[in-house]
Amino acid sequence: MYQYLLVILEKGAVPFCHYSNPYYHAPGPPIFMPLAQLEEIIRYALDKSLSINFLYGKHRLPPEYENLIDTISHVKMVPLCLHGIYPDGILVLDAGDCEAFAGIEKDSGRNLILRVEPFDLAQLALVVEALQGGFKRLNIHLVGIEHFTEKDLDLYEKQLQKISTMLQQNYHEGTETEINVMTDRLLLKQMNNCDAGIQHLTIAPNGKVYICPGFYYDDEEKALGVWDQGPELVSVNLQLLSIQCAPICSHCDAFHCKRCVYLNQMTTMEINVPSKEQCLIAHTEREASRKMLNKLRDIKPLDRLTAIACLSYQDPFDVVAQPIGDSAIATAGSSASLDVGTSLDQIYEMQKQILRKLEAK
Amino acid sequence: MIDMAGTRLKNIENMAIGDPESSWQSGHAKTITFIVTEACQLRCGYCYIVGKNETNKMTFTVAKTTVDYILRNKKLFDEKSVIWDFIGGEPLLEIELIDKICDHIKRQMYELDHPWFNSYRFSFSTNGLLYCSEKVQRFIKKNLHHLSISISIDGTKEKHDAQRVFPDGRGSYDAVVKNFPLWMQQFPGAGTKATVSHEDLPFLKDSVVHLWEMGLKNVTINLVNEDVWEPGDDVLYEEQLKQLADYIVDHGLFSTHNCSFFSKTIGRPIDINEDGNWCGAGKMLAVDGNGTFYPCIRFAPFSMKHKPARVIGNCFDGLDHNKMRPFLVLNRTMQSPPQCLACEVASGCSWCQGNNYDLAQTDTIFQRAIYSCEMHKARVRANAYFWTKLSHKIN
Repeated sequence: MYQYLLVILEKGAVPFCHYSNPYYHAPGPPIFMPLAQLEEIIRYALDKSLSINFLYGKHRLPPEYENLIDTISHVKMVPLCLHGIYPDGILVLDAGDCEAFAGIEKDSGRNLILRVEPFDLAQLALVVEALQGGFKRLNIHLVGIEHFTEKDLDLYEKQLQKISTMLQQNYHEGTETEINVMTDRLLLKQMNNCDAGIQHLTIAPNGKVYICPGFYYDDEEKALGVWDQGPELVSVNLQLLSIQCAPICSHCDAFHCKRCVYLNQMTTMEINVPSKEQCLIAHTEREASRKMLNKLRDIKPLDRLTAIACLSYQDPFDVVAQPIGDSAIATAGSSASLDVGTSLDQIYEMQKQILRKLEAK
Repeated sequence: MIDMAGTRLKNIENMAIGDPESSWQSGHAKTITFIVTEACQLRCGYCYIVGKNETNKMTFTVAKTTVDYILRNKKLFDEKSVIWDFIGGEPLLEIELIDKICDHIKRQMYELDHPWFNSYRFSFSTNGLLYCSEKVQRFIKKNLHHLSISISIDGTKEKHDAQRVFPDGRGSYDAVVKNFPLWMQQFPGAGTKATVSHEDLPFLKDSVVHLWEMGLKNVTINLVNEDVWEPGDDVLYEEQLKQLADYIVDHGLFSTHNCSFFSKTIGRPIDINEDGNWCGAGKMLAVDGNGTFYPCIRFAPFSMKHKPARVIGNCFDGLDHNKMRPFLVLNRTMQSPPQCLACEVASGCSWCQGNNYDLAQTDTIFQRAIYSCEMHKARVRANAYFWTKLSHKIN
């Protein structure tokens, strides 16, 4: 059952994850979600005991919206330009925002989201260093990973090594800082993915319901259904969002991976199959976490954490995929061939059993 | 009539019936399918190609670029053997282009010292209408030892002409059958792939017997993949198969003739250790006239009734590995509904991945169409009847 709703208050809302929003920097007046619709959503959420994550754009909301939002337990996700207006919000930063961020008061209890474009990768560790002391938890989201090259991946690995060194120093100094791509895997014993469409749904200003904002901004027609006093979902095959229906991820132990179903759809055309890039990035992070944990064994209570196994692969696809040219597919489903010496009596007995089963039905 | 074999067998090792047709290199070869044309002289009622046209034809440049890409990327295409498959539409309409492509393939495999040079086949599925033409015969003689040609004939004239017709509605049986003697002379071990649809179910038994009488001892015959079945078809299907079973046993054909409807292994629960996909889509590669790559011909635009084609690359930029991934990890469990996974007679129940995709409620290959369930169960019942009868006869 859904745990929370994600409500896009403004069409030009800040993109906070792997997707992009072409309207974020667009000029012109804001297109807010209609107030009546917001009222309905909040009423529904209160009734179902759901919390709401509100996504803000660059514009301050009208007072009637703010009053309404304050009636429910919620999280605000806001761009840096609104930090003064909504100080309780989770700030969504681009790597380029860091200079401006340095100018605001540091709050070591704050949660931050940092979106990193490929061209900012080389600066990632420096950016994280600059943000240090200004957050309790930092979520790093790489943007454009569908275009990641081997060179980008090498660069990312090196940046993670530097971040690892910073974190190790923090731990040794008694500061527990969380950075999702480095520390989440240390504690996880099972998948802890984004779970869009399973744990949460997104409602857009157009009154439609989406798996996540990525689908809305990619194509408004990719809705699961409409909001009509609740989510009226018309889409089917939603079981494919679950880990059980994910042929690669269900065999994987990069538990911290976002397993972004939006990126899955964009890159492989299947919502339950990740791209090579997504898997390689998750395993680069997993490996960086593994190495970091090995170096933190002398610190209590980190010494009690389960060791992360060393893997022989970087992409679980290589373990799961059936090799091309494997003729096993031709006989799959026809069940195992019988030995040539199988007697006709055996076949006869087997067929009698089959007939009994069919008759019983 | 066919003579009785009269063989008494306790074991099945020398029995022709019930084994799947053996394939070249035991199915380990890479299949590269060239869709050389989307035109065909026939308008078969059951044909999955819904977008036949005279305009989309492959150019030599596209074919050459495709061949060069494949041969130069040995790591991506590392099977020991290859089947260069030519399909349409009707491929023999473009025999001159095909001849040129095959010459290029042979030359390139030799020049690149490619391992496939010693292990390749050119394969055709044809309606047979142009088989005896001078150009086709010249090609056959030139490539005879590396050729596999299957001519499609569905059985009796009545059955064949019920589906395989010219645009004006005339049946094609006579025009095809007159080319059979030369084909069987040139390819003595060749088989045909016959197809059964709703309208011609009543002719099934007679059609298999007819094909045997024509000298085709190994008849591969399938139900169409599309949802054509109507209430009662499963009963009729079972009756026809039981009549065929009677005929085989009564005439002692089990040691000399084969028909793919009867199997030693179908009708059992699925072994949980065998979770592979039924279909080879994605492991093979199809390329159309524009040089676009598909997981198989059933994902090309002209095969799609409801969905956009499923592209996995093109001959100019190569394969898109991310688009390939779903096909290479697709298994039975992930695409089957619970009733199929729990089915106690599931083995042998087949599907077409392209058809599944075209009919799925969303744009996914992870939803299996299950409308042929009753037809499969009918086959399982008839299969059980056959083996029971055969056992009684022999013992």
